[in-house]
Parts: sequence; structure tokens; C-alpha cells
Amino acid sequence: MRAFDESEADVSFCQQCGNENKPESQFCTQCGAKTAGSPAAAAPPPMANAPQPPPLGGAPGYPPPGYQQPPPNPFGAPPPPASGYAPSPAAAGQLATWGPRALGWLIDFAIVFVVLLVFTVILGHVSGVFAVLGDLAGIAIGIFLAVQVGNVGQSPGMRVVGVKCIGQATGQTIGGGMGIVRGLATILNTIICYVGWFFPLWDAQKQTLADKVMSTVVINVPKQKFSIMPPT
Amino acid sequence: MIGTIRYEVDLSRLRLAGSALLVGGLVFAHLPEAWGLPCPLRSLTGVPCPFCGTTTAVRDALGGHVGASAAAAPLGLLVVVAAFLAVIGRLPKRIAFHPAYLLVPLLAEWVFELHRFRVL
Repeated sequence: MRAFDESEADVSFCQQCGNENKPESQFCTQCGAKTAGSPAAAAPPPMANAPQPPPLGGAPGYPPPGYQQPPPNPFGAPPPPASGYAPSPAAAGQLATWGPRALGWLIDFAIVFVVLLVFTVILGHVSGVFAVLGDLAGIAIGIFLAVQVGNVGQSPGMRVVGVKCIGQATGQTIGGGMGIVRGLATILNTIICYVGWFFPLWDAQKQTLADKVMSTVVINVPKQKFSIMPPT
Repeated sequence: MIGTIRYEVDLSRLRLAGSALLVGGLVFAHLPEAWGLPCPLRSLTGVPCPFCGTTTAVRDALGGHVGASAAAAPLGLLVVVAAFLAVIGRLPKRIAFHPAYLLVPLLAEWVFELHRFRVL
């Protein structure tokens, strides 16, 4: 074992298990905890004697979820051919692809649909008032979801599939008011034979037409459990 | 200023998309009944959108009726040709071009559709 005073340059010791790691490694090769050299660990200073949560998930030695860098290819094989649409694990922070975004939208649509179904189809038979109430409720939920997208970047469906809407220039959420404007802008996606919804399939920024107009992008973030309200 | 605007297109999924369009279109062309989502703009206002007629054109082209396809939407026929080329040809991963290269043909197509639906 090397002496501590000369170790700083070429090894670092894991704060969890004391294992020796190379200074450039972001995760301990023994227990998988983030090392002091990793950007994530550098940000919050670890509290002395505070109970440390165990590394999340996975076997020891494997990086925890949220690991951002793709593992090095052990075979040194060339990357897939240019035409390949090889599925790569959705890395956090990267632009979200069309599939998950569409799925998230379908989940949100299902929420509105269930309300419309109950009011308009079932209660609508009792009285026409319920049908009108149902329409109003549908609009209210639509606004409620749009405000959530603006405020926290995610609607319930977006939380489940793990995507988040942010301003293209700022990288921050756009705020509730702009969320409503973005919701209204999705009319543009629909009005041209629904083509606007499919823009992310070929757009380099993976934006819908509404995203283009609003200067928003949608990125991958860790998935969460389904919740109508944003978890605090 | 305007000359520096570029629209960047990711072509990495174009072969998959082209294949899907051709296979889907071929199935669609041989269905006993034509069906599809109605255009919201045309349903609400009677005015067609620039993409109106595209499904008809794709269905006609893959059903072997090239003339009918061009009459419904020339852009739809072009999309079928582009899909063929995407499946058999070699493609760059990304291209960037001035948006006018996209907007001018779309505008021409819209004028064509407005004329076809007797709005103009």
C-alpha cells in the first residue's frame, strides 16, 4: 500500500469502504459508491458521522442507477453502423426520443379520457348538465397538466416514462404560464393533419412543432412512480 | 441573417421510417375500405392543411395508381419515392439546410390542396 501523502495524485480512497480507486474513476470498483472525484459527489459535501444510505440497487461493484457514462466496450468493437437505430439506454440529460414522449402523452390522455368517459358517457345519460361539466373538467385537467409541465417540467405521464420539458436556452423549467401557452401551441401539432406531433422522429433537436415555437426541448430524466401531483 | 438559419435533420431513423411507410402503405393500399384520421383543420373549417391528401397519395402510389397519387398530393408521391431511396440508398446521419427548402415545397403543396378542395 502506498503512503497517504503521495497517494493523492494516483489513487483515491472510497469514503464508503476504503477501497483504493484510480483518481479519475467516478465510482468505487469495490462497492459502487460515487467517489470523491466524481462530479456528483463533489457537489454536496458529505456530513461527518451522518448515516450514509447504502448505494442504490445493483450488485456491489456496479455503478448505481443514474450512472451517466456508457460503459466502455470491452471488445473494442466499432460502434453500430451509421444507419443503425441501435437502442441505447436512455441516458439522463439527453434529448428524449419520440417513443417515450408519445407514451407519456398517451398516459396523460388516458387521465383526461377517463374523466370524459365517466361524465359524458355514463353520467351524460342522466342529465346533459353532466356532459357539459365533463367537457369543463376535461379542459380544467388539460390546463392543470400544462401548468405542471411548465412548473416542474413534467406531467404525470412524463414522470412515469422519465422525460422532462425545459427551455432550450435556459435549461430551466418554463413556468406555469408558459406551460399553458405551450399546451395551446400543441394545437399547431394537431391542426396540420397531426404531422407536428411526429417532428421528433426526424428533428435533430427532437422537438415537436409546438416545442419549436416555444423553444423548449424534452430530455431524459430518471423515471418515477405514477402520481397526479408532482412529488415534493 | 436569414441566410444563416439552418434546419438540422436527423436521418438515422429514416431507413426504419421509410420501411414502415412502405410496408404500412402496402397494407393500407389493399384494405377493402380506405380509412384514416380526418384532418382537424379541414373538419373544422373546410380548409385543407398542407398535408391533406398525403395518405391518399401514399395509398394510391403503393396500390399502383401513380397518376391518381399525383392528383391527390404530389408531395405524397414524392414521400413514397423518398422512402424507396431511403431504404435502398446510403444516407448521411445528419443534414442541415435552409428551412426554405422545406417551406417552399410545402407552400406549393398547400396551394395545390387549396385548389383541389376548391378553396382557391
